[in-house]
This record gives sequence, structure tokens and C-alpha cells, in this order.
Amino acid sequence: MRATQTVAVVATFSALIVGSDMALAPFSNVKLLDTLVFVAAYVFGFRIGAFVGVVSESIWSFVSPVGIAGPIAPFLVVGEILFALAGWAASRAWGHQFKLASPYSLFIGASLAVCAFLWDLETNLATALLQYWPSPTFSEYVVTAFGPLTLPFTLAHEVSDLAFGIVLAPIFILFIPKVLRGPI
Amino acid sequence: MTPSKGIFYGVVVLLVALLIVSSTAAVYYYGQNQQTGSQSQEYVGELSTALASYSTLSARYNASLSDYNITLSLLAGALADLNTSTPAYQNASLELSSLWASYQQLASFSGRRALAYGVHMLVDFGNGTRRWFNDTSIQPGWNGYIATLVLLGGKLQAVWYPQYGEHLVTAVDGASQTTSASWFFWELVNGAWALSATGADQLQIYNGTSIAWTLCGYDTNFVPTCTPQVSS
Repeated sequence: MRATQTVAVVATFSALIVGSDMALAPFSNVKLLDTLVFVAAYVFGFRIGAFVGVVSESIWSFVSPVGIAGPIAPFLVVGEILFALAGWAASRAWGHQFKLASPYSLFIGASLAVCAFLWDLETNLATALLQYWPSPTFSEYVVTAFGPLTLPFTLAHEVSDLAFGIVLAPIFILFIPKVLRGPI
Repeated sequence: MTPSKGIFYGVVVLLVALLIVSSTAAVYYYGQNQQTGSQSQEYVGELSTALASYSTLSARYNASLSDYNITLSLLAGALADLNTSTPAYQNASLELSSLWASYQQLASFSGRRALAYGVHMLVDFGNGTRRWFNDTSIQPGWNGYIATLVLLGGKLQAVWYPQYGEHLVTAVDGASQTTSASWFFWELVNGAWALSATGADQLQIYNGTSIAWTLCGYDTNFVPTCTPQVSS
């Protein structure tokens, strides 16, 4: 893939992600971001997926209607690389035999849900680190990451990623290469 | 009998003397009048200058009030996005309430009421103790979290989760959550209390909005086991 094509793909995905994030802003913690990073990595490889994740999460960290992420932004951005890694790994594992409405859709949904769980864990631990800096205790980490107050948010994130992974990701994965016929 | 010449001259001299005295007095009072007129003009000039200065001062006062209002709004916006453990948040969260009260007082000095919304808030501590804040003024644009912070004079502890855009409140008005009870945020919708689906930060407060905080237990689905109790 040429550099200009890489830039075009990353820009298109990032625009789609930020636009859909804005549209879904009223639904707390429900976003297409993770699904589209996963799809970008699945279809175009880890490098592009990681670029999409880094660019879109960086933008979202500063233009989100819920406020500027601030010092936690690097943790949010790094967390998105998980989804790129998962998308790349999934394409290596199931790339040639992928079919719509098959167990693979479930696998993709499950992969996204697991990544969402890990992303939530990583960012909640980072929240504890920043909140109780410079000396957070173990119990502060545990309460901040797993406290019942975080449950509605993490559940919304993980369940929505599972649903988007089962329903939307397979459609994108099959549809995008057909639209982009030709040498990429 | 004809008056003598002596009497005639005497009368003339007297009249001339009276004329001189009255003229002198007239000249004196004319001078006094001129001086008073001049002073009056001076006072009118000073009054006009003072009036112009007052108008300028009044305009500046109103502009300062407007700037104060904007600054308060910006401070509230910054507080909504700050990590709650930072000294900046801790200082500002304690001061915001008094700054808002001070703004309202200053606005009243200019002969007008500050543009404000009236909000009702109930804090139910879950042990029979309830605290009402009825028709309390807040600045238009504040969300449920900032409104609560101001009404409680900063006595609100929370952890800021920027990834969720939410403060997860751990203590209200000095009462902390426990291992089995958490603080829940409610909104009065169509006369019934409804658990806020979005959290305090995402709830925009309008004139007449009623909100509540309750400290109570929850089931395995994190559904609170209580609702705000308006009366005992």
C-alpha cells in the first residue's frame, strides 16, 4: 500500500470514527471506535489499524463533548492498540475462511468484548494512578477499577462492543475489500 | 412757607448718600451674584464630570460583572474536567460556592438580579436524615455534578473518570459510601423519581429541575434498593 493510500485509509476511518462517536455521544460509553479500529487492522493490517486507533483516539481525547481527557489521553490511545492487535491476529487466524452469519462473527464479537474489558481495566487503573498520584494503594487501584460505580460504564462498553463485533464488524470486513477492488 | 435752602441741600445730600450706599450694596451683591453664578457653573461642570464618571464606572461595573459571570462559568467548566485529587480542583471546588454567592450579591448592587436557574435538591442519607435545598440559585449551564458541588459548598468527594466523562461520587455532604451502600443520583421526571441513566455530569440542569442523591444498597444488577423519600 502506497503512503498516500495509507493516509487516505487512516483519514477516512478516523473521520468515520470521530463522526460516529459524536453521533453516539448521548449513549454513554457506546462507540464504534473499537469496532472500526479492529476492522481497519483486520482488512489493512496491524500498522494501519494502529494508526487509525492512535489518530482517532487522540482526536476524540480532545474534542469529545464530555470534556478533554487530559493526562489520561496517552493511556486511552495506547489501549486502542489492543484492538488493532486483535484485528490483525483475527485476520491471521480466520482471514481466508471468514463468512457472514457464521460462528466467526461470534468470535469477532467475543474478541472485541475481551479487548473492551482489557481497555477498561487499563484505563481504570490509569485513572487510579492519576487520581491518587504519587502513592496509590492497592485497594485504591481495586476500588477504582472494579468498584460498583464503574460497572454500568464498563458493561455498556463491553456489551456494545460485543454487539457491534457480532453484527457490524463482519459486514465491514466483507464489504470493504469488495468496495476497494483493485490493487491496494 | 418755602423750605429753606439748608433743608433742600440736606435732603439732596441725604438722597445722594442713600444713592451711593444703595449703589455700593447693589454692586456688592451683583459681585456676589456673579461669583455664586460662577461657582454654580463650576458645580454643574463638576456634576456633569461626576455623572460621566459614574456612567463609565457603572458600565465598567456591569462589564466586570459580566466578566465575573463568564469567569465563573469557565471555572465551573474547568472543574468539571479536572482530576479531583489535584490541588487546583480541591481549592476551586471549595471556593466556587462562595464565588457564586458573591456574584449574586454584586449583581444585586447594580439593581438587577443575576441570571440564574432555581433548582431543588434532596440529599437522602439513608438513615432517616434528609436535607432539602429548595429553589436554590445556580448558574445556567451547570450540570448536575457542578450544581451539587456548589449547593453543598464543595462537600462532595468523587473520582473523575475522563474516559467516561463522569465523576463517580464517593461521598456527599460528609457521608461516604460503604462496601454495601453507594450514592445514587436521581432526577424528578413527571412527578416521579427516576434513577439518572447518564450520571450527574451528563444531566443538564434547567430552571425548576429537581435532583436527589441517595445513599443506599444495591442488588446484584446494581439496582438501588431505595428511592428518594420526600417526606418521612
